[in-house]
This record gives sequence, structure tokens and C-alpha cells, in this order.
Amino acid sequence: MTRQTSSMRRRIVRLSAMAAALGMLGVLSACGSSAGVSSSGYTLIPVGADFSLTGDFSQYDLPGYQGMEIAISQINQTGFVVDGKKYKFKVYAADNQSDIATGVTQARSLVNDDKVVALFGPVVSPIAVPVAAVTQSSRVLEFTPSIAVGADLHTSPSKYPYMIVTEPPTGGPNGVATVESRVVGKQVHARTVAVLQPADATGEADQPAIVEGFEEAGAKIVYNQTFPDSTTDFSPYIQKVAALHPDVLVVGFTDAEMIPMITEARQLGAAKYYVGLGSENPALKSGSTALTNYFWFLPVVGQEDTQPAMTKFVATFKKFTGQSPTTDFGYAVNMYPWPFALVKAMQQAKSVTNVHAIESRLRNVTLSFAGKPVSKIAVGSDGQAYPPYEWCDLLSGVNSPRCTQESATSGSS
Amino acid sequence: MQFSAALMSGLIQGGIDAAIAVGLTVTFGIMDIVNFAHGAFVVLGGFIAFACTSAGIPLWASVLVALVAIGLVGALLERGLFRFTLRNPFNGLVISLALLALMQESISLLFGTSSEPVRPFTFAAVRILGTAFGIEQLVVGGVGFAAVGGYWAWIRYSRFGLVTRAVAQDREMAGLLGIAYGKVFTLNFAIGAALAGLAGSLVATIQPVSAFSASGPTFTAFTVIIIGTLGSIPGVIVAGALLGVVQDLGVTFLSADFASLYPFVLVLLVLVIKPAGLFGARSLRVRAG
Repeated sequence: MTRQTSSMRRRIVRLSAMAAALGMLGVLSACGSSAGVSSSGYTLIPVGADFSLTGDFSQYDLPGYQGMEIAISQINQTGFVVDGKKYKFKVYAADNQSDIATGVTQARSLVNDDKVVALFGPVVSPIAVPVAAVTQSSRVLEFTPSIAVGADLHTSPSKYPYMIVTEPPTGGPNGVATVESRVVGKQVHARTVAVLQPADATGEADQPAIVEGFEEAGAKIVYNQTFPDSTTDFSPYIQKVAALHPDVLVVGFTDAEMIPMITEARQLGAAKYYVGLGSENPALKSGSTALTNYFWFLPVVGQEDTQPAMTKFVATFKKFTGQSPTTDFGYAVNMYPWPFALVKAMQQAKSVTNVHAIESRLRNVTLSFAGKPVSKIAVGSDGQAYPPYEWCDLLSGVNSPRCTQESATSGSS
Repeated sequence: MQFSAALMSGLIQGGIDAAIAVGLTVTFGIMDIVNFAHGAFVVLGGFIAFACTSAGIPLWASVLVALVAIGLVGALLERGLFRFTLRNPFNGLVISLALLALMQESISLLFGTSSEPVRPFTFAAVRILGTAFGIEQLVVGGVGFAAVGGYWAWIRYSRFGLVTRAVAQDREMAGLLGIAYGKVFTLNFAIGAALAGLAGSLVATIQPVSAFSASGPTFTAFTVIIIGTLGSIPGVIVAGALLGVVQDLGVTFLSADFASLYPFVLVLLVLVIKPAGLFGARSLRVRAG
């Protein structure tokens, strides 16, 4: 064999290898589109997850993502059948790093590049609101607990044709914050109330609902103030509250805000009763002895629920994540049912891609989840879900928190 | 009474702000480093105190551990990273941004992403001028001022302080005179970081810390050193107190709705009236021009 022939052969082999590689790449990329990738006889359905896995909002988003992740891993153990074909989910997960612009960019990428048929998350409203605009204009199903998206859904339902809001509404006559503020107001015979909420999408949604609820209970709002997210010195706010000495002080929303506020309020003897939105931590960590004149309510149900299905889910959560549930574990419970609901809706619609048909099976229905921590969830015709929520108090002592699970309804009270 | 309450609470916050900011002003004054990772020292200090107190170590010892540990971290970072940026401070700025991301992610991996409070040594309160104040807060604010004041006295009156000021004035000349300015850099950077760690561990007893809360203290530190003049330790003390008082008086007597605007208004006013900051002529190094 001459040197020329040998060189020619090498070149042909190299070109053939390159052509084969390109061909393989083409096949793989075609398989990677929304048409689905075959895996042991299953077709993969791309779904997206846009959560704050790191950053300030991860306190809420991470448990939400974990709840969704657990559900999808359970579904994928056996897969599911739609119209005679076997499917599994393929999750495209994006960490938006608690940044609004990143969250929106990633939502666009999930929708346009990964061709997801449904998106889970984000939990927190400042990111969830702009992400919702991306999914709704792209005809992609979205599941988010965001209360700000929920509030907008009620005023402009036509903006959200492919949206399921997984958390019950906070405001309105049957909103969680409205109802529970009314209940607490009546229970303690509140005459005067002070409300301190963060100046963000969450606070803006909660604040009017709290005011409405307490006013319905006959109380007068003597101080109603928001504070910037960046606040570290709550003294001037608490000093003002102390000067008014209301019957009830309502604070929100994160532990980072509530613990210092209630600590200082207790030192000043600022109020007779305290209400925190979100967790019992402010009552337990704001004094040398725990606070008993304390109420809190959650728009989700969490580990305070001691029913067997919840206990089982807590154990599953610990095993799956290697973590103990945090105070915001309720968001895992909140997101957990929705991949199952999506499967059911696809089966009823006999399609994994017909977004309109799938969405219509998720609206105006009561979904059942046997053996799951939340067994039934009603969904309104606008896509607003009404899962149970809970409100608790420590009036009987810190070691015996009393929690009442409530079912939100869409009807008028 | 409202005035005295706002004044006192503002001063308490000022002590914390001064302790947070002093390291930043010193590293800038001596080494020209604009360290955006400075807030991460504060957060790390908080988490070290949280880990120690959770393990049963008393609070005072936990604060001490945080102080020493963050000091060591600072020394290592100066020697291993920032020393190589002396000729081009812009590189130091870029490195500090990367360091901020690295430290935040490391803290979140080690301690998780939730907010963690450190149990204070007391929840008791005392009445001053008719208003109740938490003893913990008074101690934290007082320790903040004392730590910065002590550092200033050391720089002002000790031999090491003299050497530090000489290096800040002209490091080449100081080197020619036999001063090992590398050690001066390392020690001052370490002390600045340690004080940020001290502030972080003390603040965590008032407000829970979270892995990604570094931007808050970094912003505070920059505001304080701009008001008090870059490189000036007395400036940090006065600016810290001024910032805390102005903010609390603003929230109390003007409007709480503009709370986040008051620091910017103060910076603007100072820059208009005294463009070099309140202590323009008294910084570690008087700059040309």
C-alpha cells in the first residue's frame, strides 16, 4: 500500500466517522424535541421546573420543587398509559437563583428550547408573576402556588387560560387571610389591630385581606404599614406599634422578619395577642419562654397535620431529600399532588400534547388523591385550586399547638 | 419620647453598621481593594455562631470562635488571592465578586438555605428615657462601637498602627524603609474580616441570617464608608451612627413608606456638601487631587 493510498483511506475513515457522528447527533436532537425520547418502551414527556433552588426565595421554592420531584419520581417508577401508549416524565429543572430576570429567561428556554408541555413553579410571587406571562402566551400549562398570580387570576381570568394556582386565595370573602383574620378577631374580641407586612407581592396581597378580616370582626386598624424587604432594623416600626398598644399585632411573612419584630414587641409589651403568617417559630424563638398568645395560619397544610397519610409523606420526604421538613415544608405538600393531577388529566384528554384538552380536565373539578397527604382538591373554572389550609394557635400551651385544617371554598360566605 | 426612642434605636443600629463597615474601609484605605464579598464575612460569622450555639457552646465563646475563624479566612484570602491584585485593584474587585458567589453557595451547601437565628444571651429589656430597649440590642450596638473604636485607637496610638499608616501613605517607600508591608496587609485584612464576622455573629442574635443575605450588609458597608470617607475609621463610627439615626428618625417622623430611600438621600446630601465624605482630610491616606 502506497503512502498516498493510506492517507486517502484515513481521510475516508475520518469523513465517514464525522458523518456518522453528525447523523447520530441529528437523531438524538430529533429525539430530544417534544416528540419524546424512547426509553425502554416509554415515551418521555418534557415538563419544566422553574424554582428558586438557591437564593433568598429558596426557603419557599425548594420544598415546592422537592414535592414535585417526589411525585414525578413516584410516577416514573411505573410510568403511565395515555391512549394505549406508555409514558414517563422527563424533568427539565432550572434554578432561577431567586432572580426575576433569570427566572423569566429560564422559563423562555424551557418553553422554547426544551418544549415542555407543563411548567411547575415558581412559588414566590415576584418571579411567578412574570414567568406566568411567558407560559400563558406560549400555551404551556403552569402550576404555581403564587398568591399574586392568584389575585390577578380573579380580576383578569382571561389572562390565564393555561394556569392552575395551587394555593387557596389569600384575599376576597373566602380568602385564607380574610377568613382567619376574622376568626382570630372574633375569638380574642379584638378592638384594635396593627398590621406590619413586607412591601413585596406577598405583603401586598396579604395586607388588604388581613385588614378586611379584622374589620369584619369589628376591630379598628390603628396601624397598617409595610416595610422594605431589606429592613434589618424594625425598632421604629415596633416603637410606633407599642405607643398604640393594640389588642393584636399581625406580622409577616418570613422568620427573618417575624422573629426580630415579635422579640422587640414582646420586650415593649406592644400587644396582647400576636398573629404570624407562616410559622410558629416567632412564638418559640422570640423570648426566654415561648409565647402562648400566638396564632399563625398557613395557606398550605404542613407537618402539623398528624394524619397517617401526612406522616407517611413526611417520612417519604425525609428519605427522598435526606432533609428534615422545614417550616415551609407545606409547599412540598402543596406541589406534590399536581404531577398526579396532570397524569390524570392527560389520560382523560387522551393526549399528552393537547394543552387545551388537558387544561379543561383540570378545571371545574374536584380532584381526588387517595392515600396522599391532601386527599381532595377542588379547582374552580378559572384554574384557582382550593386545597385545605390550616390555622393554629398556642393558647393551650407551647407543647400543644392546636391546628385546625380548613377547606377553602370558591362560594361566597 | 418618640424622638429619644428613635435616636437610641438608631444609635444601636449605627454600632452594628459601623462594625460591618470598618473592614471594608480599611482594606480600601490600605490596599485599594473594593471587596464586594465583605457582606459574606458577616453572613459566615452569623452561621458560625449559629453552628457553635447549636452544638451547646455558650454564646460568648461562639462569638469568639466566629471572630477568630473569619479572621483566619480573611488572612488566607488576602494572602492567597487579593495580594496578587495589588498592582491592578480592578482585578481585586472582580475576584471579590466571584468570591461572594462562591462563599454564598458554600454557606448554602453547608448550612442550607433557610434563615437561622442565634439565641441571644438575654431577652430582658431596660427602660431608657421612658422607652424599653432589649439589653441584647444595647450590648450588640455597644460592642460594635467599642470594637471599631478599639481598632481605631490601635491604628492611632500603637506602633503597628504607625506602620499601617505608613504603608497606607506609600507602600513602596515603606518597603524601602524595611517594613514588611505584606504582613501589614494580611493583618489588617484579617482584622477587618474578623470584625465583620463579629458583627455577623452578634446581629444573628437579633435577626436570623440566611445564606444569601450578604447583599444587605455589603450595601450598608458601602453606604457607611461613602458617607464617612473611604479609608477613614472615625468616619465609619460617625457615619454608622448617622445612618442609623437618620433612618430611624425618618421612619418615625416622616414616612415609613420611604424607608429604603433615606440612606440614598443621606449619601446624596453628604456628597453634595462634602464630596470626599465627612472625614475627607482624615482618612488613612490623603489622596492626591
